[in-house]
Amino acid sequence: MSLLWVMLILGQIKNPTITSRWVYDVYTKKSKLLSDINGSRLVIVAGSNALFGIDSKKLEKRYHIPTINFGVNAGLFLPLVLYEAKKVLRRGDIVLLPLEYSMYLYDGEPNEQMIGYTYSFEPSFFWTLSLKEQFEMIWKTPFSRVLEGYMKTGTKPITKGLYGAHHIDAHGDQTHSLKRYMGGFEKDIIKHIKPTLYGKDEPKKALAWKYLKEFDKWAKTHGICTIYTPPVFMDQKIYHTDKKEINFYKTLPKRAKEIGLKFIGNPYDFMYPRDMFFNTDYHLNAEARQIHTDRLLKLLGSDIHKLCR
Amino acid sequence: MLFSSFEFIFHFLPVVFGVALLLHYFGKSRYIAGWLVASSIYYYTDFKSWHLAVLAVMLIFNYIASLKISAKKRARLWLWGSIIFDISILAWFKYAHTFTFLPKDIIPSTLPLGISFYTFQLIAYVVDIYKERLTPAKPLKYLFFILFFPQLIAGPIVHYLQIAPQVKELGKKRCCEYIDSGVLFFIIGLLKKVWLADTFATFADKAFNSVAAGKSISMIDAWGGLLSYSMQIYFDFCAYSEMAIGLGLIFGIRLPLNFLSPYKADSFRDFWRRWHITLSTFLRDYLYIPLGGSRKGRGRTLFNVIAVMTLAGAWHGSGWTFVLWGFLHGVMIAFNHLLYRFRVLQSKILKPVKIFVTFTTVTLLWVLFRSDSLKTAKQYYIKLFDISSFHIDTHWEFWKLLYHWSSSVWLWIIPAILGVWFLPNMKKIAKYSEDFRDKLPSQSLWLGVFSGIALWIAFKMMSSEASRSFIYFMF
Repeated sequence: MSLLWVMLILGQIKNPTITSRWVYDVYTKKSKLLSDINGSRLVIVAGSNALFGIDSKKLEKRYHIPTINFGVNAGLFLPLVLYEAKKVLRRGDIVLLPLEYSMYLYDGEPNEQMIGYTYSFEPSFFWTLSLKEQFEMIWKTPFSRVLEGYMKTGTKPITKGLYGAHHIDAHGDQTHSLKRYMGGFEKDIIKHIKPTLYGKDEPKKALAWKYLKEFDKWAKTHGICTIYTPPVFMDQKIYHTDKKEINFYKTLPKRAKEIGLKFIGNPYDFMYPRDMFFNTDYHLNAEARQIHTDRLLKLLGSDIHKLCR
Repeated sequence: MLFSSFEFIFHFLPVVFGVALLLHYFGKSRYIAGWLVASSIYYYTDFKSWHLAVLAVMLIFNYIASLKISAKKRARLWLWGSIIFDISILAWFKYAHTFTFLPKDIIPSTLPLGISFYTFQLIAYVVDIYKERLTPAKPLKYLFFILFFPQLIAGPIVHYLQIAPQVKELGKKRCCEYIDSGVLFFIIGLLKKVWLADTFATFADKAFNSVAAGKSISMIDAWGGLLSYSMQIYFDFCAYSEMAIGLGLIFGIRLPLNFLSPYKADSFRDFWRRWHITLSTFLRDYLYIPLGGSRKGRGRTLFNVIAVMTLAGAWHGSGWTFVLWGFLHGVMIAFNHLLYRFRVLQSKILKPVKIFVTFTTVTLLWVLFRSDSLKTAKQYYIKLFDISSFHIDTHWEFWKLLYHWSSSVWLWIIPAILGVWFLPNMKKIAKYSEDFRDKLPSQSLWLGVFSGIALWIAFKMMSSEASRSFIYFMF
């Protein structure tokens, strides 16, 4: 049965699916934006907290370096996000990594998005994983995903909806996230978002730190500067009152520094009230993006190159 | 530890079975029984350890009561004392939260697991002692019949006399005599739970949660959600019942059937002979018959039926929705009693119609069972019959439907309904008999192959998503 299962999966590799099509379209557009730039660039690598939360034009204006927002979807999980980043980075680049907290919790178990995107658009990524992770990916592939693969549901680019290359501007930032674009559905989601307890859910030995260490080493050997900051996140009372949560946020910068990452900033400084968000606890609305970008610029200082020395 | 968890299947079960197998070679039933009791206690405390304290108190009290009753020392007082004690404990945990005048500190936050089931087993036990149907059990057999883990949390509600003779036989018969049947029942039950019940749950939750949140859903979606719940609860309870039987067989114990194709019932009376059979039997023997049963005229019979079913509804949960659900089931059974006079309705030609009508009515009543309040239930019923919102997409493309098979509720519901109506149940497939003296046939190679594939699929589903708790664990 297992052999049959593997054969079924192999039969639909590289078949595009609609659920991961928008991610592919966005990465394709952003990769093109990057490749069109000669010389060094400031590249923002993360999930969609960066996509929605950072005004790259402002960074470019401040630091006089062409800046592209390479943030797409944290649901792909850390290894795949870093893999995509490695494809586009080159010597002389500065990489800003405001990674979502979920990325630091990666423990080797893939999710549907990571599986789906790998099969449809990035099968070579599979071979960079450890044997255990490869087994997990094959074993945890849902039946419906295999069927979707055979249906080839994502042959055409996505041109409708909030997510997609059609809503990415010339710097890779998300458009159409002004408050006035929030419908009843988005308002309802924001109203009812519950806290995510990363402190409680953090695995004892997250594989994420291994991947970050490896990525940082790769960056250094390729003459790429990496700067890690906290991500945008919705503030909730429990993050300030629960011991496990407090410990998680307080120790994260320290743990990052202990493995040699240049982590600057305090997670609590980038937690914002509910009414600044668009449709998830990581997506600021366009108005709030300005506030966050200003705060980020204050953290990074007047000369970002100083952080790279 | 759910039956449908890796922890249960790969850690708990192999250890318990392995030691039981070793003890089998000593040939002493009390060693195996003792080990299974100890394992059951461990299994129970995996949920919440304070629940064990409640269970222990009830076990001790009822055991003492049974000794006093048997010694004829104020037997009637001890009988009623133990029944009132048991019902009071059950009622306290189930209904204390409805008494808003009580201080919040003393109101229990959770219901001890299995309390609704073992309470009834204990009541049946002391009543049977009082009626001299049995003599007080030795402590080990007494503990075994209540604590045996396959039936501890969600039934079947077993009688002492169903279990005690089998406990005596443990270790004496050929080892693992019916392990093939046991494994077959367990695997098929597991697949029904993790694949069917849990999938239908996602569809049902979407519809019911939308209505509870005050959102609008179309008539088609409301029916989709309701039929999904009908299938969810069917497969969930079916799965649990089969896994319990399977586990019992693995350890050499024949548990009674609790579920027998209830959606093939042609009346509400027939439904309750197929759904939660041991609960129906308990209510009949210990409530309906003592109230007079059908011996005191038609009016009293109908009253007894409705009263017993209303209490059955209250047993399931503490909300008015459950009480109303039980009451309406009682009314429908009473209605069946009245219709029974008309011989033309007993015609076999009408059977498919009666099955369809019974299934539809049972399904409609599930709205009350599933809704979190009477208000939500009312809203849901309105949605079900809101013709203005009826809409069928005329631009269906088959391949799109097929792609959406995992999310298209109707591609699940229609085959499931056809399956529950036309496919044989596990009793027929495995040729299961509740009487432990009957021999069970060896299962065929094809069933073995099928079980292997079913197990692979079940493990695959379990890996993709954590399994939900069984619905009847809530009661």
